[in-house]
Amino acid sequence: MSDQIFKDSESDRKFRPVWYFSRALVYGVLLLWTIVCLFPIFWTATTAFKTAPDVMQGNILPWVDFQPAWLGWRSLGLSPDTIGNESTVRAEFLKRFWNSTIIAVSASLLAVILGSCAAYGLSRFSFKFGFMRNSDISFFFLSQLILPPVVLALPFLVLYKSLDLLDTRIGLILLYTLTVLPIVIWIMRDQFSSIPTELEEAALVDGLSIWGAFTTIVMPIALPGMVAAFILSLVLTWNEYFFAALLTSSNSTTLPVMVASQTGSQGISWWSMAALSFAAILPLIVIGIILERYIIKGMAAGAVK
Amino acid sequence: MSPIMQAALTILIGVGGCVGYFYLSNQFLDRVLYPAKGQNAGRNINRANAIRPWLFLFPAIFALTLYLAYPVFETLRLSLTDRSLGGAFVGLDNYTQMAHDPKFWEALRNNFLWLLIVPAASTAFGLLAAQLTDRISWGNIAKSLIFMPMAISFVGAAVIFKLVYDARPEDVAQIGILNAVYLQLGGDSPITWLTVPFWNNIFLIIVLIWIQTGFAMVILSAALRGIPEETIEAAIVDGANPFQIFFKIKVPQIAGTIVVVWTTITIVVLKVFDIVFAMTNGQWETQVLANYMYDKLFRANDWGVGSAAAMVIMILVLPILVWNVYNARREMR
Repeated sequence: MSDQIFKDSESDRKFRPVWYFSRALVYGVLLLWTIVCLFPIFWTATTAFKTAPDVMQGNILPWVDFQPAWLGWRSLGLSPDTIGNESTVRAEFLKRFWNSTIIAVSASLLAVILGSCAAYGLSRFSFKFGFMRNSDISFFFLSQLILPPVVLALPFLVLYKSLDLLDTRIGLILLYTLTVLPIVIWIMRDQFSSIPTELEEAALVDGLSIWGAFTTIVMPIALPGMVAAFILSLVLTWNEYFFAALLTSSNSTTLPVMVASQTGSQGISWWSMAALSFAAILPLIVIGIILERYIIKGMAAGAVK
Repeated sequence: MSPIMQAALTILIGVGGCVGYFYLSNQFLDRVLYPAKGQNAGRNINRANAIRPWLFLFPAIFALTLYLAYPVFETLRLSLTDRSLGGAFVGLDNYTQMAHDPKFWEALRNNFLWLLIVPAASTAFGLLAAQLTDRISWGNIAKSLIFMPMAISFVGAAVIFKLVYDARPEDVAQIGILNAVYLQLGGDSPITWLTVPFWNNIFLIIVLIWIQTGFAMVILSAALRGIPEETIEAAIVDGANPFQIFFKIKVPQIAGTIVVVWTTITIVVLKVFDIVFAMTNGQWETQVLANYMYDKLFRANDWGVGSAAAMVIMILVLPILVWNVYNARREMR
């Protein structure tokens, strides 16, 4: 080993502890905030597997502090020993789950199709409608995001009553399509604007129609944006509570409504409350982890600019 | 019919309807309205091409106009009439009646409290988290964990936090974290946190901050990464310390994004309903406007006052709307 030629001067050395200190501070703050973010979720998850004494003693870590039990899941009919049996609670839960899935998927699909077409139109043709031009029409769409849904509640209730759409899945699907349509249009408009028009011009010269160019050239390129818009719509519609509570009563109630009403009732035992809460948020946590990239992309585009 | 079949059928009909609309409307335009043959072929093609763009836009415009315009005017009309008098016009009676309701002022006060705290706290925490996660190697993992509450619905969050704030009678097992901590720290009996006036508002507000911080963080961290390196290098060369770099170099450069995040969260706050509804339902002085409106409409069955409350929410939103449109227009031109 040769001697080190360049040495830190005395005055430089004192920066090392400062550097370590600031590192420790950064890690500490982030760790704290991560715990704040995760602990409530963790608590719900573990409480769903606890028995009364575990809860009393404030045991935290599963398998270390306490043995997971299926108490809460048994009352939902979702524990291993009851999964084969008939269970009205589970049937109810699954029915709501299906309602949520059908409504969220169909509404998101419709919104992505209609929204993509509208966004394509907005980014490729110039419109004139009275004083409104392209950008005004975009803002018209965007402004719908700002309007609180509660303002629209009563007229929709009246309208749906007269159209006989109350407590139907179709009714909710139509409404949800409308609620997510603005954000889809906004995301897709961004996406289409980033595709050079020369591509389509070449396609048009080669003899494709406008629709042909749209479906065979533009759509495949815009697919990532469509996926992001679809997933964001899916999360938003799956989570929607207000209109679902308002416009459905028994047949087509969605999962959030069931969860809110079940956990709101006083009589429910805490173990089934915890299990139900956890079962309701589990799909979202999974979606959140796997598809986070797309959700963030959608939100970034959808944030009011 | 099994639910899966039903679902598939619903989706098929919906999507098929959309595709059918676009296909048939185009066929109609090209074949029936302006056929590209005969004497006027050239003119017809031009006309068809002038109309075609609107086919793209029409469904969305039509649907959203219906969605926006009809309810707004209908709510305005309902707020000026009385249903028990057979829908007679009563002028501003509903508004005066609402102004004499102490619950309304409580809701308004709480709404302002929410407006004051949530956007500020979420943006500040989000900015802090964005700045810190960018500086360490496992920042991305931290980022996804902090973002996670965002994917959980408001109702889900409310339900989770119900477990956090939960309180049971003294002799029964406690399941709330807050009470567990409180008892550990020497508190003598569990507190029902959500019934303590004023502070329960803060407990509800924390739920929304918990959700919105993730949103603020992802948007702001993207903005932070967009800052040109040179400006920061120049500041370092000039001998700025980390705090100066952050507050004097970085924050001014992302001020636009901060405003965007702030307004977006403000809009979310004005819409807040689920959290209050699911956790306290406006009892114990936690009422907010949206929940007040819901109460009036569907519990008290008073459509007039309920619609009046809805109009108040709309008036509160209006400045943000105007300001946003104004800003966006200026940016785009």
